[in-house]
Amino acid sequence: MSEQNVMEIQVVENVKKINDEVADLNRASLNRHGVLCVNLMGSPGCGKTTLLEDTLKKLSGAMTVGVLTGDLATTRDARRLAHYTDQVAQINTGRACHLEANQIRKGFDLLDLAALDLLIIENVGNLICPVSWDLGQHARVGMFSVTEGDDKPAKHPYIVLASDLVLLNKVDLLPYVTFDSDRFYADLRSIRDDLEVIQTSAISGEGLDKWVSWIRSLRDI
Amino acid sequence: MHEMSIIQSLADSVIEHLPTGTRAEKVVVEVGSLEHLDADVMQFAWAGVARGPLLRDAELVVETIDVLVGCGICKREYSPANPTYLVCPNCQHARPEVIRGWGVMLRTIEASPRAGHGVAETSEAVG
Ligand SMILES: Nc1nc2c(ncn2[C@@H]2O[C@H](COP(=O)(O)OP(=O)(O)OP(=O)(O)O)[C@@H](O)[C@H]2O)c(=O)[nH]1
Ligand SMILES: [Mg+2]
Ligand SMILES: [Zn+2]
Repeated sequence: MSEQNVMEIQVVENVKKINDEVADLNRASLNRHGVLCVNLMGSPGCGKTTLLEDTLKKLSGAMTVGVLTGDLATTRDARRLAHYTDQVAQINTGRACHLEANQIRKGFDLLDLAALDLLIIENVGNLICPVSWDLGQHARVGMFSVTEGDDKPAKHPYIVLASDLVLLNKVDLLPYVTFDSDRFYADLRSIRDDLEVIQTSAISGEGLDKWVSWIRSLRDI
Repeated sequence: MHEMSIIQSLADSVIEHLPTGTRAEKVVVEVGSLEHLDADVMQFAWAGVARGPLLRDAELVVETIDVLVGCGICKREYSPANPTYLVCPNCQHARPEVIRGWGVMLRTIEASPRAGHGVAETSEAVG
């Protein structure tokens, strides 16, 4: 091919525009129905589903809560949560390591959005990829647990950067694991010094009231 | 980890922007360094995706865009050398507001006429 035949086309196009547009549509649907939406992100096994079980128990009678839970292949998390709400659906991502906005859009069809006050999305257990995908949520929560080690904010700064709240879970295990809280907080504060952190435990119940108040405070805005 | 889905969308966008009767020779994409996209993995995914007559053998150029943040306290703009230390060099607060560093942008396509395709032709499916 001769050089003069080559034409250069200048484009400025967001490659993720389809995701971002669907995310905006999701946000519009949620707003229309008055549903607050939280995207919960954290590593595999940090305690997301357990926290949601406790959250559903705590909010029962006060708020109608729906959950969309993402996992590669199983429906186990949805089945656990179905004990507490009928507004729950599992989204299987196949090989994908994160949820995308169109999966949430399809998930809406499995729920009665008009009946909900709060929708929590349990993202696929992963500290990396979920951060890059807007789902249409109003707030993002990054979850760590003490068994993962105190170095996770330093190793995964982007989830710290992108979150509106950080949860540090399994603090009941602090006496048994080597976890330097000072180091955890110092690393986190060198990324965002104003970020709120709530320490939680499903065993002792510590922090659950604070977490639920945080959700309620978002609804009041 | 999500290079494949990004590359699929990129290929779709390139095909959408190619003038009729042309094929891509070169594609330039800008990747914000907050995106966790590995340039080598993107190249690998591109080789797998760009197989149809419109994209085959097209060169993919991945340009990394450094992070630029603005301080939420004193408004100074700075490019942190290290994503784990975002403290403002001016006021020592860590209140970064990201100005640049997220996002994947298709910037330039170099296209050439396809042999025997001087006339309008509809785009192909990717995959
Ligand atoms: N000691 C202790 N164990 C906990 C706590 N929270 C959760 N666990 C346990 O941690 C394990 C994983 O909990 P899950 O709630 O399934 O974690 P998850 O983040 O939903 O996991 P994935 O969905 O697979 O990513 C289970 O055995 C829980 O019982 C906690 O606060 N303290
Ligand atoms: Mg789970
Ligand atoms: Zn400053």
